Amino acid sequence: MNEMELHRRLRGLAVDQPPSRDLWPGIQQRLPARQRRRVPTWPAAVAAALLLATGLLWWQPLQSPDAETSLGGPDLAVAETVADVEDAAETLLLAWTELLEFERKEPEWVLAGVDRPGGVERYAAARELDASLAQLAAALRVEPDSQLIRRLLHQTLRQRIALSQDRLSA
Amino acid sequence: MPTSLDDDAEDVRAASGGDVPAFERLYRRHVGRVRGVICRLLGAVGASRADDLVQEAFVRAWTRLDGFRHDARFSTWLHRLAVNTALMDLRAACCRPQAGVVDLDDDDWVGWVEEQPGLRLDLEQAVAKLPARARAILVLHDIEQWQHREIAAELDIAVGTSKAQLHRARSLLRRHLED
Repeated sequence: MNEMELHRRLRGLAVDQPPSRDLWPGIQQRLPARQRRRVPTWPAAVAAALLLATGLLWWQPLQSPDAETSLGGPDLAVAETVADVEDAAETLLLAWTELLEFERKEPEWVLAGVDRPGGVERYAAARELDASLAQLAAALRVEPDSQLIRRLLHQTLRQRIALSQDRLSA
Repeated sequence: MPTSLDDDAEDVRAASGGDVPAFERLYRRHVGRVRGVICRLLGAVGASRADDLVQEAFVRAWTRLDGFRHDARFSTWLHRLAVNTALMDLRAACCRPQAGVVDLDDDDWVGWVEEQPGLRLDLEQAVAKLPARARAILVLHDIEQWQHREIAAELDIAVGTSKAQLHRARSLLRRHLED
């Protein structure tokens, strides 16, 4: 029997196999009571911070001859003011902190996402990004003027938000 | 009875709110397919547990309805949950006292071949008698149409391992099938 014939015959095994007896009574008696699940409300402050974070896609750090700022990307423009740059970083960190607090308060919401296809991988990726963000926040405290750290913070938080945004819109 | 996607969506929403009759409709619409994949994964040795695992799968589905996204087909979501239920049972098989139970890590190809020298089997019997992991991979790939990356994630194995085991399973089947 060649490969094609075997595959054809195997595919033919994909048939329903109803039970010989009604299994529903046994299922029904095991069903726990359900209540309409409250859809978690995304805190207004977090929503505003996330809008700012995603809106910073075109944020450009200060132009500098320092090689540290060069990441091989497109040419950089000059930011409005140093204060704008600092405020943006603080806003990003605030958004991340509030996102973590939100997920801490809604563990069922988080676990429900894990059950979806790819959910385990997304959960693991979110935890890795959180570890990176913690390191970047610590590095920013040591080097508050580092444009590289701020850009990395922005990029990392974008990825972290993306992992949660699909659940937000569900 | 053909499955109506609109009926599923409506009944899932109702069941999410605690509507048991709506969930019963989902059960009756999908129990045949759920039981089919569970039976194929359990194989010959685990067949007696199929009905228990069907019930377990539907109870899990009820408790996890909040995790179902309505942009995917309910039948696909339920199917994956049923697969996971069966595989969890196979993994736990080593802890049960019954003699002859094989678990998901059993890869006794040599023993399987030696037991069946020259015995001609029909295809369904042959699949049911494969070693547990090989059977799971063959069932999921060749019958249920899963991709290797999905199988690897579900079984926590490398994609290469999934492909290699599938190749060996198919070779073994061909040697023992009736003409």
